[in-house]
Amino acid sequence: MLNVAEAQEALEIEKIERPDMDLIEMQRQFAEYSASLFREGFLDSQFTQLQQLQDESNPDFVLEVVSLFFDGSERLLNDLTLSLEQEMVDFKKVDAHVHQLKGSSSSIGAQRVKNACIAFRNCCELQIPEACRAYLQQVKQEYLLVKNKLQTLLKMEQQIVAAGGSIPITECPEWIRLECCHRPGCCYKPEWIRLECCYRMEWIISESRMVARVDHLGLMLLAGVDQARVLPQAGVLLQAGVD
Amino acid sequence: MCGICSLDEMNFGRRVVGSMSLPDSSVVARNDPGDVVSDHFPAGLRVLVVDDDPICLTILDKMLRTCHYDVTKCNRAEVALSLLRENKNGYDIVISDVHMPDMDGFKLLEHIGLEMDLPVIMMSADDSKNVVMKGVTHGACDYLIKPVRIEALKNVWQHVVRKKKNEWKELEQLGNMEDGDRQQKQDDLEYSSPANEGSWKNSKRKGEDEEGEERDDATTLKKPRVVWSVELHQQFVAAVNQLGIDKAVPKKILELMNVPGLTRENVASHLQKYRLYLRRVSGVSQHQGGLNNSFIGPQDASFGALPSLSGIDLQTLAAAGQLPAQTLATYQAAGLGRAAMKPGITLPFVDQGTLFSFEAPKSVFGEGRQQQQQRNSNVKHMNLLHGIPATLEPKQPSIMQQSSAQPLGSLNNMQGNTHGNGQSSSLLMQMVQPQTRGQMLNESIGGQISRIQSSVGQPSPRNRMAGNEQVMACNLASQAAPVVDFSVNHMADLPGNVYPLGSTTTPGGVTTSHQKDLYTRRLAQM
Repeated sequence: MLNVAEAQEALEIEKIERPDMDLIEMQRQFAEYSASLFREGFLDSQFTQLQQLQDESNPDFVLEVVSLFFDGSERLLNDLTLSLEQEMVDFKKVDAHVHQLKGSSSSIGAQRVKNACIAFRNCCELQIPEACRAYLQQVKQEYLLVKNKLQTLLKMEQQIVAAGGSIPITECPEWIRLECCHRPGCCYKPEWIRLECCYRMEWIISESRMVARVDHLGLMLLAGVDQARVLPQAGVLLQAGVD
Repeated sequence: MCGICSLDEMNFGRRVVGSMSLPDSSVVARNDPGDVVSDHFPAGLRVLVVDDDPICLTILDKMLRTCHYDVTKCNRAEVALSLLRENKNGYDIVISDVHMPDMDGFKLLEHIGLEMDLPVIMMSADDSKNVVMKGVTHGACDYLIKPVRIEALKNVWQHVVRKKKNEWKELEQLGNMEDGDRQQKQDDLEYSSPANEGSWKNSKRKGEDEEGEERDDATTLKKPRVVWSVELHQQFVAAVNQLGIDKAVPKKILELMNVPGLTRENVASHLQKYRLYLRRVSGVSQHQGGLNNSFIGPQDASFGALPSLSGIDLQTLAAAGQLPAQTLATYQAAGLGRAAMKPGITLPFVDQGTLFSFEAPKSVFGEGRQQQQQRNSNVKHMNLLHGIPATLEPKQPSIMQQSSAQPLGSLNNMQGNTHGNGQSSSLLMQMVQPQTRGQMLNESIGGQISRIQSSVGQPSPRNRMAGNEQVMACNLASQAAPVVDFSVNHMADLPGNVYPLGSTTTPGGVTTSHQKDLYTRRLAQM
């Protein structure tokens, strides 16, 4: 039974013997945080590419690009808000803005923003201002979320760097995206996944060890599989693409 | 400072990144051009990257530098063009975004193809088949989907090499064709192509003194980039036709053309492109739908050029024949019914059926030559085609209505670009064009001729909403993809200025009197 003083002393000794325990801890937390961002779909493998591009000659590359992303996106979102508030909405301009936002968010790996942009663009085609505004809100929300996450991530990165450590890179899981009607946010670990597309019911048998989640667009993402085999109920195949 | 480390020491078991974080050294010995590429190739490849999005531009720049390329970045197409023009031999390859505010990426592509003949890679977040096809037909040597990964960029040097190799090869072939022209070949080999170095040249040369000198020339004096203006091209085609396409060899063409400053290899490379174009065009003709064949059957096969209005041919024409972009746009507009820059000029093209021959440029300037007569015989066939609407679509007061509808024009454009199928369908679309806009969308999205053909002769409901539903229904029947996503995505992937629904044009038809006149004139011609 150690008393408090001894416990503290033991801790001190441990710190001396393993001085970079904090650093290791920070790195562990960083890695875990990254992994969660990937898992939840905030970031995709493109972000990993950016991290890999950062090197000694360009130690702030990720920070630089992310800052550009923040500036550019906020400008675009403002423009979009203004455009949609007009009496006569110029959908051509709106579409161009959204396309650009989609491009930059996909370049940086902000997956959910990109997906929200895709949904937004689809809505633009119908040229219904109210619907577009609703989708714009969604894009904004996703943007704010990912901004927050990225800022946290970058801060953690800075701390690691300050402590003299190096930044761990997390692998992004491979996702297969399939249409489904399940509630966003659910997570499944079944062997059978039932997917319902707009007009048909399809059963999908997937490999075991598969994790599925439904993203905010109602798309079910299956991780850990190369291909989902489809048991056609009526000969209709769902498209599967690897993200 | 810190880089990205391999984490083994961390016992995290993560990926090793080592290969990516190479020192950023884009230093290549530029002082000695002869050495540049052979030693370090593809390092030092001079890339010009154009993208209005600063984020993408920064990322691309960094990626390309990591590949040891010599990168110039540029966020405006105009600036890029002026950079290229100022320094004609300063770049090896151009990578450009498709959607840019000041100039369409495809337009930039055309300019570059015409003026500098550099390999161009297009990029976009748009991955719809139509846009990719557009890239192909405009002559892009590759199309990258954003977000671009570094792996995709690592190998762009192949396009530079390939292009140079093809040009060498065509020279060699053409050179072999000519009798007793060995001597002349040497003079012609002033080309430089660092990628295709000495071995090619040396095998051709007969060990003259100029060898050493030529090598210097070769490296400093790069390929002379001749701009094939319309007049020049006309002369070329005239010469070719005079000689007969089979007998046309660069030497004789050059003699006939009698243009000072034009070299044999300019003619040779142009001839190659022309031949490719003809081949492509005649190859395409075999894919035309049945309806078309019945009308173009009697046409003289040796004429080669096909009466297709599709964007593909016009654009291959541009790529092959190096028409000025403006003329191309004019043809496209006339052929595909988009709002032309100068409606007064474009419509007459269709009138004379001049779109349907490779010699179309001549007619722009109203020159009458022998070929005109040949064309006129074509015209009859073409007008037959155009005559169809009169019988099948009695309700159509405005065949040319499409000119006013930019979206449709673009759709037609895409349609034409899609498949061989798409070509005939676009031709048919010319005839039955003012169907529902919605149905047009059907075609562009579904890309199925059958619907067009089946709809010929039927009175068309002018309700675009109905058309939209048809899109869904048809897509459901024929395709498996979830409907809303698929069809709408395709719409979403149209070039930014296309709004098939709810656009300003009304289904009732916005026909200008000019277009009406044209229609009546064409009818009168039949």
